[in-house]
Amino acid sequence: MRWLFPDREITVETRCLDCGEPIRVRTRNDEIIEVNPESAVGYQPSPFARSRTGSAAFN
Amino acid sequence: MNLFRSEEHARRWSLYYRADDDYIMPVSDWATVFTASLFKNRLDEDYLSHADAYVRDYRQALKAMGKTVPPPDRILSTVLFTDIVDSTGLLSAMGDKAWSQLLDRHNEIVRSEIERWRGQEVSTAGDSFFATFDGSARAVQAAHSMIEALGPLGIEIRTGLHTGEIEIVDGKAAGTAVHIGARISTLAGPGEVLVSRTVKETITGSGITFEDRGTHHLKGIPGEWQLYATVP
Repeated sequence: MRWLFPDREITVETRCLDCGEPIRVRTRNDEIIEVNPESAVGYQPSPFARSRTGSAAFN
Repeated sequence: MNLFRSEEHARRWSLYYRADDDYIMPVSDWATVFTASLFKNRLDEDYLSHADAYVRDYRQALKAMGKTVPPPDRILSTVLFTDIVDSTGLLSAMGDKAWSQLLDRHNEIVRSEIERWRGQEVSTAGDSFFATFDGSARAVQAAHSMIEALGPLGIEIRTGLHTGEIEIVDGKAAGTAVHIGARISTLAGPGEVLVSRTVKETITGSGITFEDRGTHHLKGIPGEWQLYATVP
């Protein structure tokens, strides 16, 4: 998303998929300004090839 | 990517289907990975033409985060893509229930032909199938068999094939050859088995004949591609 909005601050407000509690991430360009809670993690079902196959094959 | 309040939450949520090489990292580390040109350039019209470079960038970014990335296996394979012609129109005309039953029957037949011709189903999406074969001629024959078997149901499919090296990562097929096969299938007419010149050259002498369908540009793939319709 950062590349869609260069030089603008972006706030992502979402909820933890496990417990439903809020997560907030603020970013600007390539910099993370805030992650709340600081322990927040991203889970990526990798490898990239898995999603690449899907996107290319059926788009 | 999914967000969780902590690694414990992510591991609990993904306990039953997480693959060994899935990644759980702090949001700040993901920010570094996502600066890789892979993700930036996916906004570009021709990003598929640079797919290999993107994967390299992604792997390097993960490596920088201390994540080991196993090298992909590359094998020569023929990829087959199928798609029902005018599926939206069929759905509208038939209604949800009848369409669902027809789609189930379609899926049975396609899977049966993939198995019969010793292919491997990779994935499905809606009414589309993606399968790989270790023999080009059998892949072409599978496509023709599907078309013939689906005809009595009133279903027409378009099929596209390409032969090339694919990456096998986590048991899934990927790579530029996959994209090429997918693009070719979108150009096939109803009931047509459309193949690249590579497929044609690998099965010369098999008894399958070809009709020239001209050269085409495949979206996101560099160069011109000579395509052929096969006649069983």
